[in-house]
Amino acid sequence: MALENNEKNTQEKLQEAYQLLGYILKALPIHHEQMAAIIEETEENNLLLGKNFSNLIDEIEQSVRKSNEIKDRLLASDLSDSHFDVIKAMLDQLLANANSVQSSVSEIMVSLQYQDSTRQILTHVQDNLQDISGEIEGLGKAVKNSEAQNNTRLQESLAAKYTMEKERDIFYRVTGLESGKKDDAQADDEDDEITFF
Amino acid sequence: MAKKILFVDDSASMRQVVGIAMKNAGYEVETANDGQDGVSKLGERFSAIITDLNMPNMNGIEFIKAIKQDANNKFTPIIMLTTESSDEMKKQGQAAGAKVWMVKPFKPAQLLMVLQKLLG
Repeated sequence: MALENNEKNTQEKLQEAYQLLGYILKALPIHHEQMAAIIEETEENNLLLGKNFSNLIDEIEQSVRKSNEIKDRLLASDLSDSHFDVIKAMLDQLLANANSVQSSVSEIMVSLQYQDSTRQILTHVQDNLQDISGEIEGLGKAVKNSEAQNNTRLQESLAAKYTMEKERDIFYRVTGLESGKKDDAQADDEDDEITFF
Repeated sequence: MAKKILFVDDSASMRQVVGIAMKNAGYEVETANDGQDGVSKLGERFSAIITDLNMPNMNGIEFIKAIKQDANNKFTPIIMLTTESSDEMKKQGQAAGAKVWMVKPFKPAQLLMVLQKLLG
C-alpha cells in the first residue's frame, strides 16, 4: 500500500514537472520577442536622439561662427571705447558659454554609445534563452531515457556567447563558477582602453 | 581635401555617433553595416578603416583579412573599435593586421587622437 502511494506521488510530481517545463517552453519565445521589441524601440529612439543632437551641434557651431564674425567686425569698426568694451565682454561671454556646451558634447556622445552595448547584451540573453529552450526539450527526452544532464556544459555554452567583460563578470558571479581566466580579466580591467600594436 | 574614413559597424547608433565625431573633426566618412558590406566598399582607397568586431555575416577579424587582400587598402591603418576587451581577441586582431584596439564606449577626443597618430 505504502509503495503504491509512493509511486503515485512520484508520478504526480513528474506530471507537475512536465507541466512546468511546458509553461517555461511557452514563455521563453514570448520573452524573446519582448526583448526584440525593446531592442528595436531603444535603437530607434537612440537614433532620433542622435539626429537631434547632431542638429544641436550644427546650431552651436553656427552660433560660434557668427559670434566670431561679429567680434571681428566690431574690432575693425570705430566704436567708442566704452561701447566696444561692453559689446566685446558680451561676445566673450557668449563664446565662453558655447565652448562650455561643446565640452558636454563629448560626454553625450559617450552616453549615446550605451545603446549599442545594451543591444549586444540583450541579444546574447536572447540567444541563450533559445539555447535554454532547446536544452529543456532535450532534458524532457533525457528524463524519459533516464540520462543525467550535465549542467556545467550548458553553463559553459552560455558563457561562450559573451563578448563583454561585464557580461562574463555577472555570469561567474551568479553561477559561482571559476572563470579560469580571472587573472586575465583583472589584467584587462587595468589595461588602457586603447591598445596600439 | 578631407581624409576619407571607412567605418563598419552593425549598430546604427554607433554609425551615427562615429559619423558625428568624424565629420566634426573634418573627416569624410563612409559607413558599412557589417564586414561583407565593408568589403563591397573597398573599391576605393581609404585613409583609415575603423571596424567593429562582432557583426553578422562577416566579423571584424574576417573583414581585416579581406582588407589585407585588397590592393587599394592593404596598407591602410585599421582600428578595431569594439566592446570586446579580452587579451585573446586582441591577439587575434593584431595577428589579422589591426593597428589599434579601442574599447567602446569611446570619447571622441580619444578616437581623434588615435587617427592623428596613425595619419600624421
